[in-house]
Amino acid sequence: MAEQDGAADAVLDEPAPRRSGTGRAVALARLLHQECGHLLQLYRERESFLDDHTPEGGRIVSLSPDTLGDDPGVEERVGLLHAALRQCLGLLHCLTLREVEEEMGELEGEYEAMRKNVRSRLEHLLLSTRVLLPQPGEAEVTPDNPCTEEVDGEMGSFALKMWTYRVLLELLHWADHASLTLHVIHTQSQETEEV
Amino acid sequence: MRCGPQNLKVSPIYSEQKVALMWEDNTFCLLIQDEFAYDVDVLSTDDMTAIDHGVVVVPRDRTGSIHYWRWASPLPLECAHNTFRVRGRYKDQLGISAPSEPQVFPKDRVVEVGSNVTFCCIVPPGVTFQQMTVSSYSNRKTITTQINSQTYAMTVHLHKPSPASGTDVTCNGAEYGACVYAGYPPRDTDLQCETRDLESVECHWRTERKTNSLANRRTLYKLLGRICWSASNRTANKYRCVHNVSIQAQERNWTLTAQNVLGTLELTDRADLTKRVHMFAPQELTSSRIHARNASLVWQWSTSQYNKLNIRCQISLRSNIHTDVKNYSGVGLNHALLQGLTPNLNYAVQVNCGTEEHFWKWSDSKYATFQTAGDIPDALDVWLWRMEDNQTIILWKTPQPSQSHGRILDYEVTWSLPSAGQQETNNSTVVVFPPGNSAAAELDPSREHVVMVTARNSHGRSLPASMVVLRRAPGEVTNVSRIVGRGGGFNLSWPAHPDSSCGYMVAWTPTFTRGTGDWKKVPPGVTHAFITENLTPGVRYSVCVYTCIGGAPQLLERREGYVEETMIPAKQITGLRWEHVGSDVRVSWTAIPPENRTAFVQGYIMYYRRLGAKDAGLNPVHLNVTTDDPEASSLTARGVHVGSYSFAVAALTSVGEGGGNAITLTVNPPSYKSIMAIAVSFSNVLILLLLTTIVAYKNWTCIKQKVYPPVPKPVLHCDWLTLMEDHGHSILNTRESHSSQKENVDVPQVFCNRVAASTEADREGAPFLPNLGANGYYQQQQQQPQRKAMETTTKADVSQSALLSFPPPPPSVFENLLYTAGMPEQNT
Repeated sequence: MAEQDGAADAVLDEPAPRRSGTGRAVALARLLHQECGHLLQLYRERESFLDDHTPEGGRIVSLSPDTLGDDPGVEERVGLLHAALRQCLGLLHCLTLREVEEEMGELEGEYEAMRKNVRSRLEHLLLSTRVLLPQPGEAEVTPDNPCTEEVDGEMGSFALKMWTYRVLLELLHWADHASLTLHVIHTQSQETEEV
Repeated sequence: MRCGPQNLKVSPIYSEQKVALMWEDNTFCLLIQDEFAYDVDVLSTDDMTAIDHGVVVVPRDRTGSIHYWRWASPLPLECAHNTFRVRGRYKDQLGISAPSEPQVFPKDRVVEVGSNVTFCCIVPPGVTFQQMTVSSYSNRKTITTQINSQTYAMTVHLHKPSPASGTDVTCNGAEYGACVYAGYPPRDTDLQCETRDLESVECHWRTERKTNSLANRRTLYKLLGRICWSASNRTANKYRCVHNVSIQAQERNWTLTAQNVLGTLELTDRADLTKRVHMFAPQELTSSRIHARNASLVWQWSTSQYNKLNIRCQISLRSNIHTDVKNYSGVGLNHALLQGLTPNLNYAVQVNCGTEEHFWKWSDSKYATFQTAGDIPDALDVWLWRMEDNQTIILWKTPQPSQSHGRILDYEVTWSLPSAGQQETNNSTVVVFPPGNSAAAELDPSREHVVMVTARNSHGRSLPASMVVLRRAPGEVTNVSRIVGRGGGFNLSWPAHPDSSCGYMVAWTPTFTRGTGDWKKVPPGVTHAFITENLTPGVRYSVCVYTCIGGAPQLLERREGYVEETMIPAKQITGLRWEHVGSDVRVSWTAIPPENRTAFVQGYIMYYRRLGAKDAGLNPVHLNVTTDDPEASSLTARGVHVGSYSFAVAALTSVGEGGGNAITLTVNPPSYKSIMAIAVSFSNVLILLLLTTIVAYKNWTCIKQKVYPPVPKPVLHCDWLTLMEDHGHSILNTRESHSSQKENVDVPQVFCNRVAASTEADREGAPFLPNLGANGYYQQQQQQPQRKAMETTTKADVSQSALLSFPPPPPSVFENLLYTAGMPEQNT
């Protein structure tokens, strides 16, 4: 992870004209992945009963079944990734709202600071992936979630904790997926340029 | 039919007596390209009989979304346990139902710390109960009780407050559980209210963080009945609330209400807030009209209410040399004139303000910086050192930044002879560049001089610092007294001098080191000084006090001392030697050179102890003798017995014994020397005698010839012989008894046997043996060397006159009775 950080920082430190869009996106994705892991760890430390627990159920954010083609192209992969990340941002947005509402105010601990950090990084990544899309102007970067879940009934603090935990796991999963996908795309684009 | 629900969640709404269900489609449902539905059954947990039923239709475009269903219970939810079953249905095919997860109750209960709470876990049919756990209470043993086939209960004593996120109670793993919050009713304290702008009230109080850890059940604060929306300041447990209110000049109650689910608390502060004005910090603080020694400060107020207020401001001026605080007052005060500043110096200004009347608190600080303009340097501090070779060193102290007022470019030193009536004076000028701070001058000690020194910077030259150097009086002697240092310096005081017009000076320098020292000027009227600069412990200093009369320093007194006496290093006492006097041992030494002394010597002490006493079974006595004479150079130990000793001598000082040195000596018995002397002398004599005997023996003949040559035989007539027979025989007998001469020949034999005697005398080496016969005279003249005498006798006619003309025997030990007994006295 340290090596990834170093490589990500090295790419980000390159002058803009030299650094490609995909290269920057890869670096951002790797940073996001690291920070999501840290955020998850902080949450586990706070909610000790979650230690090493893997929640049941599948992904919260899933790709549309129509898009599960055999060999999606680069643009399609970037588009799917962008959509998933946008849903993640929506989940994180709702998570923040619920936690602030639960605490009746913003706490200032390490977990809250890292949560802000992750949100900021995710927003930057969305901007980077949007640039890679064929029609960037049409891509949204705002949170994709009206936060209307659990309108009926009380979610309860415990259920909120479990949901928060699942959201953090989701963020970690998609940050990892983004770094892998963008790395492949970046490598292919560099090979294409050399040719 | 494999399409069905997943992640089914059942949420009770106690207040509405309803239960909300939520679930998602599993992946198999995503394959259905058509509308399908979910059947929801409400069952009684006890006997699993259906109580109610519902259907949720999922249109084609809602596939993959989350589905909801609500059920209104006819009974309060706490009264009965129900099980919910959801199954997918497509074209009349029912799928499997997702099992309901275990449920833990109560959810989100808030209790006071120390309460006992009973939790129950309801497991769905087909699921085995495993355990219930309570976070942060895992070390405590809990007892779980089975209520019915699916319900289990556990009671926990919550003896400690819950963290902010609550205490978690889980059942069959971490997936299913409930939160409980153990806390306290409000325990806020220390309410204090004030006003900052005379238009609002601001109250502060202190809270316990533990109370406020109840998420969603936090304490609600109201001031004067109005909610404090942003009351918290979580970093310091100090809370504040501000409300706009008309501030009247009268006392009233300021009431704060703190409320949470566990209780309510009311705090009151009674005060007239016009007497509790906590001003805001001045705004837009700037410095203007900055000169070398004064500057102006101006600022603004954020509220017009201050314009009518009698304000007091405290201005702190900080520079790298000093800090000064000045106070200013006025109605609506918004400016200050700073005076007494130092030129060319950076100042940091801090302004705090408060009300002049009924002062409550200082406002927050406002800061600014500025630099004063430059100026000519201050006059220098000058001193002179007269060296032994008639050279005078003119010294000055390098001006500090607060004195130089800019970078010093050079120093100009001038000395002259002030002679009244003469048009020309003998001037000498020298320019010294920094970092130099001295100049040497050849001043005639028999004449008076005036020395002036100035410093120059970019703004000009300083006023001259002058000093009159009086001519040196011949035979000038000053009594030197002792001074003792205290507290790292010398504390001096002296009697006032009536003519001291320009104060006093104190100068000090190491006594035994050639060179200049340091000085300090004392203003007129002051007759004491405490000097601490450039004073090293263990070094003797000469401290001189001068009075300044007409610009000329005149010596008042001189003292010598140590600012701090230190231990004299070991072995400074040298040249240890000793002598044994009777039963005493006197040890002498060479005194420590004054320049090596690090303290005043007050005397000496000598220790001595016997060496090897322990081994010999003797008492190793440790003794000492002392003297309080600092000039002493010897000490005597009395009654020192025979043996080996160690003697150690040390100097006594106020800080202890130092400079010590030691010797080892052996005390021998008193007769030993005499015996040795006698033995040596006797040995020498014996050796000498032996040598003499040997030499004499070997050279006896020569010695005899030299010392006692043989007496020639006299020529005797028969008449004489007859006379001798008549008278000489008895005479010979008398004399011979006393004779020790070796050549006592028989007279008749001599005359008759002279040749034979001569032959006999040729025998050399014949021992010298006086041989007296029985009749008292020698019988064996043959044994005695008589050669010369015989030869003399044979050569001349022997007559009476010739007999009488024999040379008398040499005056020797050996008396020749032949010539002396009965013979008429002859005049030769």
